[in-house]
Amino acid sequence: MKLYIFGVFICLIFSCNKGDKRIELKNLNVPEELIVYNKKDSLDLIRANSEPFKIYTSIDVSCATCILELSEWREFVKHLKNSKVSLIPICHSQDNFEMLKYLFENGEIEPTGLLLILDEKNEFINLNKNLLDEKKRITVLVNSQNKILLEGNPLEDKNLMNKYTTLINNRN
Amino acid sequence: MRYFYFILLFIFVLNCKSNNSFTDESSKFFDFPASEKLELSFLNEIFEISVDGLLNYKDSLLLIRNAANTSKFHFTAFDLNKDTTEFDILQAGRQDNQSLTFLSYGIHNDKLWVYDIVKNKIITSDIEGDKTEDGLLDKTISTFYYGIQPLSDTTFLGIGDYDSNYRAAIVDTRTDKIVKQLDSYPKNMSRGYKMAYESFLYLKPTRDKAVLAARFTDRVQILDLETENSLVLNGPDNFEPNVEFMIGNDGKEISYSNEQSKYAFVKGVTTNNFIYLLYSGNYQNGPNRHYGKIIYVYSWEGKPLKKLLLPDYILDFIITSDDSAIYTFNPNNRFLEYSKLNL
Repeated sequence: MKLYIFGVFICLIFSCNKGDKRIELKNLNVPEELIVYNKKDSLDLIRANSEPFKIYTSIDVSCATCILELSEWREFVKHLKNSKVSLIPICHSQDNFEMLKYLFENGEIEPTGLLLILDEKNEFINLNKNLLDEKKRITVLVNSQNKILLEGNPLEDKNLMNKYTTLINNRN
Repeated sequence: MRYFYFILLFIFVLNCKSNNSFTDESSKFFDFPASEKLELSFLNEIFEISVDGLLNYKDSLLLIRNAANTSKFHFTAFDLNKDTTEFDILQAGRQDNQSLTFLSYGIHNDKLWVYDIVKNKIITSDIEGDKTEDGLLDKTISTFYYGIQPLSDTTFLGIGDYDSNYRAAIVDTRTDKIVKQLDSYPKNMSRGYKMAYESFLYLKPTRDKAVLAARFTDRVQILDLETENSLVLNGPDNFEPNVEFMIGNDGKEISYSNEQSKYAFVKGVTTNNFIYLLYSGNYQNGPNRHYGKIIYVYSWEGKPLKKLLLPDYILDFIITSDDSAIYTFNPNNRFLEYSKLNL
């Protein structure tokens, strides 16, 4: 009987240890071999990587309608009160980036304030498959250590847009 | 009292006109007068190409459109007599004489043409062995058209500009200006509703008539380009487009298909004698919405003539210029097949 009570007591002690309440933030895996296509007109990638907030989003730039998202993203970032956020679109392509290059060379993509990162081997998606949404894309808000703060595309979800905006604008 | 009844009758008649219906004056029909089950014979298995469409070149070459981003070239020529693929046509890319992506394409004066929707221009390519000097101008087209068909080297017929009050326009590519507009939309028809009647465009080889085959309703419209007369047929299922509406990124109303949307016509071919339209009848959900097992045949006078019933779904087909044979591509088994026709 004493042994029984002692065993229950030990179990209670362990079960009372609730551990650290903080949720472990997931890590975003960023490929090493990414090419900045528009180096002259873009923010420096290193500077972009050191900002307190970064929005990584994968874009299929061989899809004519998907490329339109670049303008929408630029508008979204412009309207954030907190300027310490970088937009890092990771572009993948099935046409060897021909459509993107054509639009850029013909001035149909305004380059100012927009990084065009080419992921030739599609590594960004391959390294982060657990983050794919139902449209097979990845959009995340991360901190300077690439820890994921929010997942999902705020351009397509008003609630998510509010969460992104609140988190970015309210953080010092 | 008589006047009172007259006023009541007048009000009643006015209210009978539905504000939500945009059906224009059309002939409704409920079945074709004849049908024929086609037995297809095997010609070849196309396993190395991702097929997205077929074109007939002089009844001797089958030009296979390669699915986007699957090849360095947009088309592969298949010799119908030798039963082999022969050569590639029109490189994919951003350089001059290359094309990025297109919706409308065809053959004009023995040249292959495509309407590149990123470059906003018509791009042409010789079909190997048949070099021609003259051709369509490759000038920029500032208005987006869902479908175009060249009428001459310097003009084309365009449909699918949903900001226009007209269903079709003839455009001069030298000036990029509209020279004629055809068939006005009903008054108060919103942009989204115009888009719900989105259609494929085909020309009679003599280029004096055009046919619009709708994607989400079994509506066929034949336009006489000389008299500007229009004939509309609805049938045999007689269903209206079932789509949703929203405001697009550019602030304009658009419509889009959903699970309840039924696909009507998916591909078409014309000869001087007949209009052939591949009919789906499938809903958005499911693997076969872009394919069909029935080809509806019409005369250019607007008569539904015959149904051709196929043993399995096909992605596209061609008809020889004398209406004597049909060649089809089955996306499930990747067979190229053919049959004689008796029309």
